[in-house]
Amino acid sequence: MSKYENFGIEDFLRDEYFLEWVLKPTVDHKLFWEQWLMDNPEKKEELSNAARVIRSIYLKPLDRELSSQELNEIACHFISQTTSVIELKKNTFSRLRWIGIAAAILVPVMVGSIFSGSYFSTPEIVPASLWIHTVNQHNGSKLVALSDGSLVILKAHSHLIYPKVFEGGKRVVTLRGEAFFEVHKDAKRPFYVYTGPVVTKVLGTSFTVSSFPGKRKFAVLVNTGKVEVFQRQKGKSLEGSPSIVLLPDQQAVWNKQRTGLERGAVETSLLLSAGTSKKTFSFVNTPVPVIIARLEKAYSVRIQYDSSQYSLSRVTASLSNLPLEGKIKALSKAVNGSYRITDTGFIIN
Amino acid sequence: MIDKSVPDDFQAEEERRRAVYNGLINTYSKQLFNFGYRFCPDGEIIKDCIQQLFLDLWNKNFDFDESSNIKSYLFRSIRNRILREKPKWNRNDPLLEEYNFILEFGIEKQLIQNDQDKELAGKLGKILNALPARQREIVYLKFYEDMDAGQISLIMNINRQSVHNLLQKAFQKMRVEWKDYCYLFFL
Repeated sequence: MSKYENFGIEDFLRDEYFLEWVLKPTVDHKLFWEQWLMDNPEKKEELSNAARVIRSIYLKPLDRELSSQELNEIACHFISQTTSVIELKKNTFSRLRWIGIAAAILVPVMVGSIFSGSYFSTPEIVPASLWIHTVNQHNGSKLVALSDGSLVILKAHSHLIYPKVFEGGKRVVTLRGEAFFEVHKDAKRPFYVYTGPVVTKVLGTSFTVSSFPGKRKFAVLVNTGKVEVFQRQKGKSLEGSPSIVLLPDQQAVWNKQRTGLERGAVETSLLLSAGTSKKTFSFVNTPVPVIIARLEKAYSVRIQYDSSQYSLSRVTASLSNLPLEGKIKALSKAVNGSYRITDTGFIIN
Repeated sequence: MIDKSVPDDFQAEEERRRAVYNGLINTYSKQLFNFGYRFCPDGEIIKDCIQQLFLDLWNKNFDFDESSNIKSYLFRSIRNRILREKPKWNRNDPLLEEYNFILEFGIEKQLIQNDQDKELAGKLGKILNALPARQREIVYLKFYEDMDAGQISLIMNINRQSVHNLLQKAFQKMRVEWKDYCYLFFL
């Protein structure tokens, strides 16, 4: 017997646990209240009235919010305050040409407001929209497509910062948390993943980086290709810093207690590594649901499909050499369907 | 062949850092404004605070990678900054209990059919609007910014027990005041 049995609608309105269930329920809330409703079915109307009353209350918006232009001003001002003049002189003309066009639009708006300083004759104002900061706050995976064709599967509670378009001779992203990378091969433009003091460099391969602040473990697991992991040191350039090269099925672990990167073998062979991948993704008359389950498990993505349509279909294919999207494309073709990329995975129909 | 368009390592590092901050500014500024404005409804002051916040973090070499809860940390920082800088207050006691927090509730009348529920909604709304500032703030953080007890304690600079107590006080107040409001007082 809980206190709720004697509650009237007014009591529910002032109860914290009930309010939480209506406004921001967790699994616990749902379990409790659904069970309680089953045990006390006569209270159903009272409960739904209470819920309706609560939902009818809304938070009035403030009379003012930050406009996109104001946001851009803050971002531009920040960049101008943190860019030294010396840096500007080193830029090549091709970069300035592009920036010159953008600045011509921006400067008339900015001048006279928050900008001071004399070096705006050659402004290096990079619009805030050039860099994207994507956060995956949920427990599932989030797919991020990069401008070079690379794919990032961002795991739970992780952040990724990347440019809208990769420019120059390097491809650089910053990661906080964990992500699986399928990097498009481009020997002329090495791909760097920055995670605090450790930097992972690749040319074109697939690997997982895991670096959560507060946790002592940092790890890079290599699925295919070759990966070089650097330990950044102040005052030294990256190429001059200590590093280790990892091959498939190897991982680097950085114990923050000691000062080195350690190489180790992965305990169980990774599903996606070169060694097991061929076996894992070679299908002979395999039912579609089995293939999809295997893909979901190996990549930690969600693949939705119409089970009534495809559950009996069987496919023969060797998908191991294809990147994830390529696998999905091949599978869709094999069942005469099409696919779509979503935030959390794919839909095949 | 040297690719002249690529800055050398140190510049690359600073550019990368700047990009990280750019990303933070892009992601969190509007939310920070929305939160900060509730303490001090002056757009220019709040914009200034946001600007200064990021510059100070940059100058302190604050590393985004190392902080475990970005949003809470930023909320806490902007809150401290606004409460500290508002000139009205006694500078010796920058985190005084007394401050304002704008939070106003309205009622979507179309969603309720019967009169009794309309009255209840009006009553609930009025009581919520009459909660003291700190209780309004905690209701906002919990239900509208989806913060948990740990994050709220970081932002408001109180320990977890105080978070719990403050929420309890709010609900207690609602229960007590409920009896005082009668039919005649709602709109």
